[in-house]
Amino acid sequence: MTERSSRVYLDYAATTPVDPRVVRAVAEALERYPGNPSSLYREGREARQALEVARTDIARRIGAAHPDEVVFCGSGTESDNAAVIGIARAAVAAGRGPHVVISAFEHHAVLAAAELLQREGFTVERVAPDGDGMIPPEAVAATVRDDTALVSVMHANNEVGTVQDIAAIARIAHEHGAFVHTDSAQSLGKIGVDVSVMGVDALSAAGHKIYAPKGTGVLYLRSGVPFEPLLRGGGQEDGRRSGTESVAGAIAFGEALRCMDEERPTERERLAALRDAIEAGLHEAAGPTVVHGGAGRRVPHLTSIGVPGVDGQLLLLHLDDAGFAVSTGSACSSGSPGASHVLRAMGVRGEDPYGTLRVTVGRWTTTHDVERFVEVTASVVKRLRAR
Amino acid sequence: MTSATWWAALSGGVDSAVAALLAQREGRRVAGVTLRFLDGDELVREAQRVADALGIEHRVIDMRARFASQVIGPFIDAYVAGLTPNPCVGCNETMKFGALMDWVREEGGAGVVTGHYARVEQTLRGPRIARAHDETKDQSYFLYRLDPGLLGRIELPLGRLAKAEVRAEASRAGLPVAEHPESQDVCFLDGCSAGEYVCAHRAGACRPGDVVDLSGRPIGTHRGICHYTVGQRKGLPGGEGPLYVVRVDAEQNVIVAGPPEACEGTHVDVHDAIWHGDPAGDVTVKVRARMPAVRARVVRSAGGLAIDFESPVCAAPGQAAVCYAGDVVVGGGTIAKGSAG
Repeated sequence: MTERSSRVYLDYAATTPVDPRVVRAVAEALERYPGNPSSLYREGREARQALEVARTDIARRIGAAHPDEVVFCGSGTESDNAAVIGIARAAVAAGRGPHVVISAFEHHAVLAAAELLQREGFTVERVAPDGDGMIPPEAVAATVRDDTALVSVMHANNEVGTVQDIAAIARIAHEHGAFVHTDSAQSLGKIGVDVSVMGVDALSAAGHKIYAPKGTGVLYLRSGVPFEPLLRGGGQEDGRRSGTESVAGAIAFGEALRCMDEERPTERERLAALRDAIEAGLHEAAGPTVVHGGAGRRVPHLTSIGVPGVDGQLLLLHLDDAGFAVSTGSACSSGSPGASHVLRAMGVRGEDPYGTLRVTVGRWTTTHDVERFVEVTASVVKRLRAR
Repeated sequence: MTSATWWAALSGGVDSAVAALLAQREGRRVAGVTLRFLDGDELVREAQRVADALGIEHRVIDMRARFASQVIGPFIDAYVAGLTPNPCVGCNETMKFGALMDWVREEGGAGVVTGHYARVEQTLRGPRIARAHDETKDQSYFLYRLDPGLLGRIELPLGRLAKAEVRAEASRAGLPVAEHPESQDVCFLDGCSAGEYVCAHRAGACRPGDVVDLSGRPIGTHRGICHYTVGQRKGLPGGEGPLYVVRVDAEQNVIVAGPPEACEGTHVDVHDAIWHGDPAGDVTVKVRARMPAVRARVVRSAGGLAIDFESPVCAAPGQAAVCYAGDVVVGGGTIAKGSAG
């Protein structure tokens, strides 16, 4: 445990390792709560009690009016699917029109859910981000209709990290009577996330982005919002998500969010400083480089850097060999199979080749990791450009 | 008839002055010699005054270049590598009982008298360095590397005295040093901390970085690894409980911090070891100058020692682990990386 691995992990937006405090909480929960929360005898009641404590804590932390507005589910993708499909279908059943507005650079969990609705007869309109990676609320205002069922815009974009003005978008949508969902997978815990401040009707989050295990997700559903569940069966979670609840998973999510909340004041500054050092360091040592969405409001831990003259995949593989785990997103000219829908939507057009690195820092990233990353990346970039 | 001269190493301080005085009283023919390690001649002048008061010849050997390359250089290198070196151990071996002894031989002298608080004890296997009677002043730890073959030519007259007796002797004899304050610290630091000294003398050696917890997670920042040693509490961020330095990782430029028990372990590996030919096995071992010796079992290996303690110790890589059988030094070496925690 005290030996630092020679690998440097800089892909915390893809997933996070589980925090040791969460590991302890999970291990304890697995031992202490063997029962089914739906059972009426003591083992069941104890499991139920633990589940509800976690639910109440999470509800309070995200600004929900009531614990029952928090639904535990199996992943961020499930949460997004349930919200987009479940609210749109139910809203139509309640008299709204089959019209959905999303942003063009949503996560695939929302994009694909919207495509399913489209096949069911919905009209789906996609609002493009501007060149800074921001969804202009005016553009949402120009797209939303008086019968729109649902508007879904992500809180923080997963490729460029820009933070959207969800409160303004929700206000506009609500003026037209539409329901509002936001995907907060990349923002929960990293910046303040409060459903009452944002004014959303639904919010999705994934545990494995905040140092909880994979396979844990949360769906916030405001009381009274029409919803048709995806999973049907035993009627757990007030009928909104059937399937025996994972008590340990719920406790893990709660403990992970508690750690994020308590450490955010200092961690936010620290991560932003590391990110800034990466951006400035690469620009100086391997420049000119471009920070996508750099002018917008961003989450502190993520940067998307365009590296002209270098193939992104090749750069990633060389960095992998050198001990660094980072993501790439390609912004090559239109139509290329690897091109990122996010960067394309933002209108990023680089000369071919044009590599993009998505670098995300997190709880175990040190200053030294970042210094080494800049140094090694710069030398790899120079080598690749010289070919 | 003239016997060969015993050369008393005079530092300018009270201890070496009284050592020379006591050697004289034993009827030896004594002269004074001062090893000049640093710039500035105040200590040399004080040593000259001591020699004048004793009425003995006084010579000065300029060791500045050798001291810089063989003591200060390795000291800084070790800190940069994340170790906590003990420069006095090496200085005793290579300077005070190395270079000086060579010089004395060339002069045809009988041997060297110093003011160290330690004894030379005659054991079945020959003379060995042993603890001073005044345990609070004992310096045998710093002398563990001395070759037993040299000990016949080394006089340590203070080994049987208490510090108070030494002061009293100096004052009775009217030596001009009796009022000097204690000098305990590394002589060339001149009031600096080791970290400050390293920062000031090696460009780029002092880079701030992260303090990480036992899981490797950053929890604060450090001023440069040379300011930290294993077991230290100062200069660490606050946590849920008190935090101590568990490991200094020079390669990653991080300080690993944890609860006090994380600094301790019962196994220590030692390299660059010497063993004076005595049976290994159950001994007591000191891993710091100022801590009691702890019972341990020692197994010798090629160039090293594997030490298993009866109770946990906090061992800083770079410091000396010195093994005692009773009061006698039987061996020791440098604590290897990876011994802490």
